[in-house]
Amino acid sequence: MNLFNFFKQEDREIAAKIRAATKVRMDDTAREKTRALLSEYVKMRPVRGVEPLPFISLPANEFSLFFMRRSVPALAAVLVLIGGGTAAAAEGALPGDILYPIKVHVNEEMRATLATTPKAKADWQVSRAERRLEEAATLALSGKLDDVKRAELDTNLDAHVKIASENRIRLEDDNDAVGASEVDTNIQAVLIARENILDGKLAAKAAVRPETAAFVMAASAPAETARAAAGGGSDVETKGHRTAAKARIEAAKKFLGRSDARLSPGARVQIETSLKEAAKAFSSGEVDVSQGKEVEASSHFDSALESATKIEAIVSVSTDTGDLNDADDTSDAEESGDDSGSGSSGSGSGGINPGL
Amino acid sequence: MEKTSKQQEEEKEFLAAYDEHSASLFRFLTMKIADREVARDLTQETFTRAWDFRQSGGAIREWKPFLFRTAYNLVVDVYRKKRAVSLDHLIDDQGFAVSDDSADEKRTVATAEMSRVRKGIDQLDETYRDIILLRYTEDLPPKEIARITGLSENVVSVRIHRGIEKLKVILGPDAKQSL
Repeated sequence: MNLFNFFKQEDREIAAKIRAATKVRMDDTAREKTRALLSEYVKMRPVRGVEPLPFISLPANEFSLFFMRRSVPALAAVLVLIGGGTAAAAEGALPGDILYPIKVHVNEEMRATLATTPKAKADWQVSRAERRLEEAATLALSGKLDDVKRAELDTNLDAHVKIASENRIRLEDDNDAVGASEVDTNIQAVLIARENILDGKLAAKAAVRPETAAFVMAASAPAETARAAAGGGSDVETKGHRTAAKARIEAAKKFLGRSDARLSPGARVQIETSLKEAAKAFSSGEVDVSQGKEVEASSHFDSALESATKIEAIVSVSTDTGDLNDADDTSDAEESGDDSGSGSSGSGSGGINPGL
Repeated sequence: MEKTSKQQEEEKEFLAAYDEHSASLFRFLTMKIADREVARDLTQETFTRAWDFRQSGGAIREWKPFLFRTAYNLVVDVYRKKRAVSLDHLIDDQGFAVSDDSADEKRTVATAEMSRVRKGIDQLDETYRDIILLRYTEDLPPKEIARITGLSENVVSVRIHRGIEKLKVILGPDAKQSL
């Protein structure tokens, strides 16, 4: 036996040991239960193009009351009525769109039924709150965040936070202090992000955009409470900035993709540059977090938020002056950043890929 | 009718992927985060995200690397805390059953030795542990591990080699005696 073969044999045997020592499996009951839930889930969300988009007209309030019970079969029945294609199309809906109630009260409630543990339930409610923030940021970019939509977003966001908090208490009851603490941090981060989505720097725009000021005012109280509860903790602040940056970046990507985003080529270039900077900083922050570099992560998320906030300032200035084609008007944008003229990384926009 | 049939095929393929890969995904997630309930949630969330991706028009050519990459990112994105429970403690004290389908391996590796190997794996730095588990517990080739972790294939191969060497050092001379 030569040396090479000896080591190959040794490695094979230690590999067999590792395999034998680490084989664990899910119990059959849990496995079948998960399979049944997933089977229901895929039936309610058919792949795009499989079913036509039917006309629907269902009042939001009746939806809300009906889905208070969160029954999977009931949700399945309604999905059959409205069509899976509708449910798929609703994912991109914003407050005011006809499909928005389906997004919030059918699609998201369906996802909620799949969460079986208090931790999973809380995590999903936090995710829903983040979706509301992204919708607010998207509407704000389009200048469509009026009082009615703001109130709807506020109400829904509060409801998500409330359910997440209830599940946090259940975790505490179960003596899962680590899980409860994690949920608590995530909730506080969402509240801070709510403030940051339309933060103090943009409050100066209140004279032009009353809805902006109103949203900031509504958000500021719970955010201050969250900050106080966190004791000014940098971890919560960092997470809050991460959440806000993520929502703003996703909103900017959607805004640029909308056909009604009337922007001059110059303004579009400025926004795309800021978006690339934000996405790059965000990705760097994610890498830092995965490597346990909290200080560096905080710095990168702050940079991402700053760049992403700059986008709204660019759009806002264009709207204020009524000149969307003035590519050189960046005065306000430059107030919130110091290197708007720097080149992009070349890494491309859309650097955030949640989960995939 | 044709569209319904296509949907049925998609569902069938998805559930087949669940049947084939859910056990290994659950195992990997359990090893990584050391919490059975959370691992179960994340297994479900992995498949939910995979379907959402498919439902929105994405193509999944190879399910196994796609699912593992999704699960890996999910842990990095959502569950960033380090493991607080040892692998050996987890398997002994939380009712995990050691698989019975490895009769040959069980004949050559005593229970005490498995416990010792688990403790050795626990001592490995996470940088090596994830890759060792993907390589040997899940039997994934370096190329697929590279796609899952975002590392180059060369880096993965180096870490596999170094990880095994470190594990041998941790296990000490007894490891060779029992081989």
